[in-house]
Amino acid sequence: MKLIRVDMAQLQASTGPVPGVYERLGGRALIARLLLEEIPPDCDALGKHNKLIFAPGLLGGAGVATAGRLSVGGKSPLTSGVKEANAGGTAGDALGHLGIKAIVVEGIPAQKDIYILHVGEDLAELIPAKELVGLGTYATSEKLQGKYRKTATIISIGQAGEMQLRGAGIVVTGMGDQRSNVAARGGLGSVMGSKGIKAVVIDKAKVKATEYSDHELFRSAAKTFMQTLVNDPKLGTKGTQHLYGTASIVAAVNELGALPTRNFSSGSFESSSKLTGETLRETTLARGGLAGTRCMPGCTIACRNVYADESGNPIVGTLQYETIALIGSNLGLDNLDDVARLNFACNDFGLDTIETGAALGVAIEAGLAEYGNYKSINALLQQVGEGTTLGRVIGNGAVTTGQVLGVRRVPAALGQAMPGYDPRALKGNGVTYATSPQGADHTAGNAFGARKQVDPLGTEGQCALSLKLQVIAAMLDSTGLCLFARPPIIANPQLMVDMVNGIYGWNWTVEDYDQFNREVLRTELEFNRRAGITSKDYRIPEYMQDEALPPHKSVFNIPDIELDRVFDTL
Amino acid sequence: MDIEVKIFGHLAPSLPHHQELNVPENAKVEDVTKILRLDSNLIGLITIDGRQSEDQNLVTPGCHLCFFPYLTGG
Repeated sequence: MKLIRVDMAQLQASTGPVPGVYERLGGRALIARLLLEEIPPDCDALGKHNKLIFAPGLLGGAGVATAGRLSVGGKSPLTSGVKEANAGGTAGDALGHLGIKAIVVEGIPAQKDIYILHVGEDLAELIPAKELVGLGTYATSEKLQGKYRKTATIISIGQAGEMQLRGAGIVVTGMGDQRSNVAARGGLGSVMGSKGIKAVVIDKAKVKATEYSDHELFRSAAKTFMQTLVNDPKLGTKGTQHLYGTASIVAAVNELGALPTRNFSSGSFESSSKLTGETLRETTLARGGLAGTRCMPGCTIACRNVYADESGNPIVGTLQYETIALIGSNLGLDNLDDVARLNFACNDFGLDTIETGAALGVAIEAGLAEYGNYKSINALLQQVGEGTTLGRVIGNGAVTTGQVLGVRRVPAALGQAMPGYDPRALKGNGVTYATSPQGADHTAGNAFGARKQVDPLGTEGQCALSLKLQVIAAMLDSTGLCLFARPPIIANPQLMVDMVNGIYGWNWTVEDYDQFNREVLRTELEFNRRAGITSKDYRIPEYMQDEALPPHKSVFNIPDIELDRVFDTL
Repeated sequence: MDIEVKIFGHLAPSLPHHQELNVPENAKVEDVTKILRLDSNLIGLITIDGRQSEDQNLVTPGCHLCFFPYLTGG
């Protein structure tokens, strides 16, 4: 495989062999190691010493269902620690098919110019792109697919990334006209903006580069894996994930009292029935939208949707749980049309809907808009794209917004906004937010699926559960697997071992695989330690330890001493 | 006694999503499941008044009982 290095100070791109230290790594694992090896941990995340890494997982491009996610990483300007965010779409497979293990963007340009990086077979070149300045991600993708090929994958930032706002994500195109798969978290869009890269254009490979050490071993394991996914009651064609998408859990999270509502002041939203996956599907199909579509080629789960307005015109694809929680109930909005329009704006500006939804909730608490009032909320959001002073405050995320506006109730940990599960009512997620090297990030270890193992409201067993989930998440993010595809691997880790051995011939055992996953976390924790992050920086905000959350009147009460010991057995 | 029942997802397309139901005193969740003829193999989560519950839990007058299909978070 190859590694592409892009030097933005010299404006040069070069392709070379993969250094030995990175050979057996992919996705999040590769990002963690590269950060530790090459980036000064205490550097300015938006300065010349930080690097931006694009890396498919170990299974990327190999033909495994749901394994085409693209990991993006670097030092986070939000958390000041390690960050990996991943997205669906076609980028992971496209890079895998080209035999590219990673693209590493280094340095910053001497002039404040903007470029695209064009990558293809034996090709990596920087091209000035002044004509793209100030464009949203939709227009950027459309222009570049028109200029290059319709089949090219476009990775881009919007206005938020160009302005180096810390709430900026990175948007990846998918199959056909699909536009908005987002590596959202941690402000990596602002790192891309700091590098002067507006977009990456990836040509579709004419010949797939993947070679198999033992094709039969791989084929057999990949087939069993796919069949297990299809047979899973949650994930098959009759499963909730396919029928209702990620929004299938809105009603359940609301019932369990963990749905962020009005800036995390309640865990239950009185109008949640208007935001559920059932309502979303019914409305989508009645209007001629799409439900049950794929973000990655070959995905058997197919949980995307294209949400349409009353005239049947698409508003946004896809409308997901986290956005419904943070932009919907968290802002007191009970109309999916409103949530979809705000979602579209976030995608176009290139903003993380979690960070931005949380920041808007804080701004509303400060009196700058009204809960449930779309017009006032949209007026604030539009200011982010326009780059007004207030817009830049909100675009820099929840913590900055709280600091500037004097709001103490800021739902964030390690500088990053909390996703759609209040940690007071789903305490396993609280432990993840308060310990993960990725900061408050549900994808780093989501306890929602483990409700029957550990009482979400109790304190017993939450730390052990979070550690277990964090190890699993490290595996998913390093192989390129969608997190919804975890059940077959958790049930039978040998499947993953066989797929990896079938491709690479590493003779891994299940124990090797487990240690690989744990090493990802060890490496990330070490980077954060060297960056000066202490256990106190990870903590759940004080108000969530004092302020009882309706309806269960719960607080986050896992003792600090237990949080500090989460990784003792890593 | 009267209880409030909500059924989510595709557990019972022919039943109302939300209904008031009269059940015997000391009824358990599994009794309600039988009254509604729900396929217990398809039920992934049960809550009573927002708390995760099981088949053997008693339902109480006026409680809010929810049945969900299998769900995954992310």
